Amino acid sequence: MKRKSINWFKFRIILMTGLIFICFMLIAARMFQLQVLKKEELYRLAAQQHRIQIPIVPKRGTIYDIKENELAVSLEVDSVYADPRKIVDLDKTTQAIASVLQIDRQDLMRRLRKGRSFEWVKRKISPEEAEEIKSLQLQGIYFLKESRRFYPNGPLAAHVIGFVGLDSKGLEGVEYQYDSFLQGDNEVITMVRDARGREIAIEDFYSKGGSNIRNIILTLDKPIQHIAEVELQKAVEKWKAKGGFVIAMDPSTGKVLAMASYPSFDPNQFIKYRSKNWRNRAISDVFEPGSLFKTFLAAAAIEEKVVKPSDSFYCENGEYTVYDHTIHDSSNHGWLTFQQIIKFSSNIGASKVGEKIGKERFYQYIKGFGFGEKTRIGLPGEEKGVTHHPRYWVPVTLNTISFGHGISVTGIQLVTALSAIANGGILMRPYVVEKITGEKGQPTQSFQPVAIRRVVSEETAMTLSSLLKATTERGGTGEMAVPNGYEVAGKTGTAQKPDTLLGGYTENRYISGFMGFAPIDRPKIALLVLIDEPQGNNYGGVVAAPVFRAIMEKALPYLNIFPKGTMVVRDETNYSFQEEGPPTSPSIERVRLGKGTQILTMPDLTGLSMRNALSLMEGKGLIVRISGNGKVVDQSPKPGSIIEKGDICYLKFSSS
Amino acid sequence: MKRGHSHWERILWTGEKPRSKPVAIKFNLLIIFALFLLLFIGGSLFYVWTRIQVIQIGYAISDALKEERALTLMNKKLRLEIATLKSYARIEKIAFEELGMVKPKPDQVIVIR
Repeated sequence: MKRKSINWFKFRIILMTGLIFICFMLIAARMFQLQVLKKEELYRLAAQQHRIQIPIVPKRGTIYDIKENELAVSLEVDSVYADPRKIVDLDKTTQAIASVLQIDRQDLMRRLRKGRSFEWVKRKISPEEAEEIKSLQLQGIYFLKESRRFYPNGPLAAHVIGFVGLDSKGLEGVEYQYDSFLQGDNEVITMVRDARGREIAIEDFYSKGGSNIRNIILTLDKPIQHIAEVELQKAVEKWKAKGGFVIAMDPSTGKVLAMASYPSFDPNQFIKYRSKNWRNRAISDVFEPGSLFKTFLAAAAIEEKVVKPSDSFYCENGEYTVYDHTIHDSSNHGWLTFQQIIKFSSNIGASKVGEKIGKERFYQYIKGFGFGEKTRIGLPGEEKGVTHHPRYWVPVTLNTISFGHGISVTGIQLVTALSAIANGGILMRPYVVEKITGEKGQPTQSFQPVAIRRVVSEETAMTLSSLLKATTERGGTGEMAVPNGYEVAGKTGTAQKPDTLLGGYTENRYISGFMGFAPIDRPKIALLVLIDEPQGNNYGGVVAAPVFRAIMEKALPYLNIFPKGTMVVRDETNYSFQEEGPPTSPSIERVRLGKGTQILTMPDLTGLSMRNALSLMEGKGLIVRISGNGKVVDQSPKPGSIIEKGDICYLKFSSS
Repeated sequence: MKRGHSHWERILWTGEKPRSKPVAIKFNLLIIFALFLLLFIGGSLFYVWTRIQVIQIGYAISDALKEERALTLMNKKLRLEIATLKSYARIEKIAFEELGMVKPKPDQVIVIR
């Protein structure tokens, strides 16, 4: 018995040990199966359950003006979608949504009855609408974040900025041209979540795909753009014109300061406007420049030394027949000097000057000034105009091109060519993008002025400037273009529009233009104003020149170029906005004077003797007129006024 | 013993109590054991505490990230609002229509240097 029990005992121990061993083996085998064989699959399954992927709405870069005022901004907004299978009461739900979102209820109902599991209700709704719908707690109605583009200035610079479609892709303007820079990649943040679905940033949460967006800073200057748009709109409405455009350029660099087209549109709601309103007329419209083109004829003539400003031409008393064509002038002239031909804008005089230059040479200058090819401004939809080679010119073409008919150009070509005259003869490439920056504002690419070629010598440019200045003087066609206190150079243009149906030219459809630059000694703005089909009057000098004046009058002081006679007061308190004003915000414009601008101001001479007064005035280049004896009691200009060499200064002396 | 049983077998089967060790040694062992146990429990608790802390901080980071996203969005909205309010068309309208302001004539302008 005892021996038997000892055996059983051992047997049980062995049995138990064996069982435990087998159990361990099973566990080890299962572990091997889970940890080694099925490792990858299970890791993936686990990750799916405790990892959460948060898609970040793709960002889109901001578009700024040159002072970094926002022109186009993107914001995350909600889009509403429905899962019709989960909607409890379709009638009630559609009624509630339709009233909040102002959409057609029947249409929504029809779409939701299609039985699809996903149906957009309305995309990119306002935050207020989203809050209202969320508060209704409707079943089967969900939200998705999407990026929406806002244009805070409404129609301002709409043609340059362009707009984006519903899928945030650029469709026009800079939005289209620089879409690959502005558009960010899709970004996903991975996070761990707990049993209740809350996010925990416990492991290395990481984001897949960087935003990689770029901001675009334009050369446009918001105040100048605004002035240009307001004045253009006023003129188009006043003359009941079909449309028009304005381009302002910094002639020394080729930077476009303003580019306005009318009719305009609000890019926030671009779909509500007709597509023809979207067209950037300044670069897309091709037209015959008319008398504006005489500027370049004059440039060629002076550069080639075929005429001098004082040379006289017989202007045939207003009627000049070349082959089978008769050229007319708007008013009849006999003998005119070359300077007067430009001043009075004589077509007959211009065509005779053209004949002296010859077609081959004239064509070289036309090409030299950049006509007939795109300026490569960096905007979509640019046209190159129509400039035929002289071998295709019929005999009268040279005469007509001399006064701007028989050639087609774009606005940007004209203002770029004019800038070449304003800056001393160098054709600059126009551009609208100043620089491209990273998301945090660090510059990644900046665009520098590009000189394409020298077209005319500095001397020719200067002579031409004085010719163009004569146009704006008393009796010239452009006298209405001169803002008070400034000297400008410019040229008017009135062109009959070609008749596309019957051929030839229409009788009553004109393009009225004015282009010029100011101030004449150091041009800061080259400006082109073009009004399409004005009613009542069609002369560029009457229709477009006042727009030029109105824009210059406001834009030049903004650029710290003040009219003659402006009182400049020295700040005695030495108070500086820069030191004590709010922290530097790039968009707060301050009263300041541009560096390097030398402004002479009239000193206060009151109470000085004649000797002292005259010694103070010495060297300023003023013409001093004196009346009376004794000490200064009155003076003109008043103390502090801006004066220039050659100004007349009256001093009144009295001995009492 | 006579039958060749081991010392332990005999203890198991006879129910005899093993010879007791001196009290001092027994007490020392107990203290060492207790200390180890305490250290182990302490260590374990510390480990658990760190894990809880990690999770708590994880929640805090997650909340902070959410807050950051919300604040960034709010910041953008406010910037957009500023930009909209700064629109010249709007300012000009208020100046002309509501405040009755007019553009100064050139001779009314005084530039302060």
